[in-house]
Amino acid sequence: MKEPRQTHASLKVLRAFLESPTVKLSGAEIHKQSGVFTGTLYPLLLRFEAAGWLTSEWEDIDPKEAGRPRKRFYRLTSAGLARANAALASVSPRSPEVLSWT
Amino acid sequence: MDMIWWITAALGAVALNLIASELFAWGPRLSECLMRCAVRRLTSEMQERMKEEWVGHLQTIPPGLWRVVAAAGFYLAAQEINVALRVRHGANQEEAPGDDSLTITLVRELTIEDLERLADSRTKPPKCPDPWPSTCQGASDGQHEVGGALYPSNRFGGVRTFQGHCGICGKWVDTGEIFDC
Repeated sequence: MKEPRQTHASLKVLRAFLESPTVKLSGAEIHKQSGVFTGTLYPLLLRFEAAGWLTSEWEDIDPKEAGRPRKRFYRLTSAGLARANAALASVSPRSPEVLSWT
Repeated sequence: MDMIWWITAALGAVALNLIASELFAWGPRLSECLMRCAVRRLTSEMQERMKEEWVGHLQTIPPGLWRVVAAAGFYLAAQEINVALRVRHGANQEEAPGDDSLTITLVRELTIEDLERLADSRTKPPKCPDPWPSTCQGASDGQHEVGGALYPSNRFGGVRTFQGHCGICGKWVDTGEIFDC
């Protein structure tokens, strides 16, 4: 499988995951944490999932009982964790500032 | 002049306020409409999943402009998702090559010289090592007897030569005589 290309947005998404690697995050939570536009976020998540960096699963609730649709939770895989760490480490020391600036 | 300016500004402000309030009122419906359009743009295999996911996402955003912006993002994302899926399917095909992937691999391996040769072969007629029957099967000495009307041709590297029917075997042959008229 081809590695996803690293962009500014993808690094922001990966950083959101690395802040709490074991926690499952929904698309809305990732959007809130990373600040990445929804138009960019979901294709990125699918690319990461296709590359095996992320896994996703539906929230274990009954939508009728809960009165809201299920959330889809994304979580880093062990391979994804290593790749995400490597991707963030490979960026220059200035990049974290740039990431937090936007 | 000042009066006209003030009236225009006041009317503009009122109009903008009306538009903004209408947009705010229509926001939830507009965002839902955009989200539905986005889902329709997706491939059938992704529609169910993304619809539920995106409805859930929109509900976490308070009604207003940001919800519309998020929904517009879904609309843009749909195209990207289709591309991402196509790439994924393409990658799977590479792992198990079929006819299409074989073609893609072959094209990738071609060099510029190969491509130029390929383009030449498309535009020029294929070179035949011996396009003319050099010996006459009917004649005892194997020589054609070309008579009657001869036609100049530009075969043999652009040099025009005489051609015609052999009177013995009846085949169209080239005499090799240069036509330099």
